[in-house]
Amino acid sequence: MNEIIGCALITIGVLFNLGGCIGLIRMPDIYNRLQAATKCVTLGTCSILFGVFVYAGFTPLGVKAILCIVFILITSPTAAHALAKGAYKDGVKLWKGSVADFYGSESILTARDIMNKEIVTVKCDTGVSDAMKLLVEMKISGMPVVDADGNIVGIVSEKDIIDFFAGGKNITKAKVRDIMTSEVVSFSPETDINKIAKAITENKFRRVPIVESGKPVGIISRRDILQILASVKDKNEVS
Amino acid sequence: MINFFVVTLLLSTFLCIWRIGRGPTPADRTVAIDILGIVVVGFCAILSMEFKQDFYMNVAIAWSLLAFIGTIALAKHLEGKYFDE
Repeated sequence: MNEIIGCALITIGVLFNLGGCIGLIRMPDIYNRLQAATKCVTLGTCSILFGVFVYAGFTPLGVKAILCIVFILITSPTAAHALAKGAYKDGVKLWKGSVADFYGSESILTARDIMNKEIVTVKCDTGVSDAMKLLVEMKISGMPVVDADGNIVGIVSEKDIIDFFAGGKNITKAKVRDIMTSEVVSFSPETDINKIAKAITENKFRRVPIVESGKPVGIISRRDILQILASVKDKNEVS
Repeated sequence: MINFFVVTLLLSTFLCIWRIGRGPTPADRTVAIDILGIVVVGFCAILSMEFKQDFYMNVAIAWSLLAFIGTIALAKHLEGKYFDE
């Protein structure tokens, strides 16, 4: 009788192990694989060990099997948790179908997550009056300036135009090139937003362009950072 | 019966090894190594039952602890810390 129950438990166990390992292969990202494999394989192996205990009874073999169950129940979830944290800190991205990232919203948010991707850029040989029209039409206060190849060469804002105008210069003939701020502080999409927020306060920027291999891919304004801070607070209240 | 157990567990270990080889991130490989360790513990338990040799069970206990320490060390390494932090 004990033999049959033991064999049944071991059968369940090996099937769970197989299922867990299939999950390890089939799941789309590290976090899904981790949870599929760790849970199934821990349960499966504990079931096998318990089956061995039932089969062997209170012999040295059976008692060692129970001891092993205790070890695995303690160590396996701990290891999985440490590994998930390690993978996240290592920068492993979540699967694109993931719907929430509470851990990340509290600690690591990168520029890519919050930047405004629909950027308005202006060529450096555009007239200032056209640039002004663009700013007014798009309801924005500044935009990156690009050269003919699309590489970022500066940034032009309301302030630049007003300063230029206040300087008593003729605004109708000027090009964006003449008035833009050419020393741009820009960041890569992988930058931590804390760093960007720091740069914005220290240098009194209103916005920073996000640049990937020379080309502007997004822009982060003070408002974007404010929005993300507000939404993080909401999430914390929910969870 | 033992053949079924052994074949199923061997299949599981091959799936783990496939994931170790495939990656793509170091964390994926570490997960697969961890899982491989736990599967081997189950394997040892079945062997010790079949051959009535309880030293396989000693191997299983040692293996489960070593797999744990190895995984924690690799996880800490991924996190960018040292093992004793």
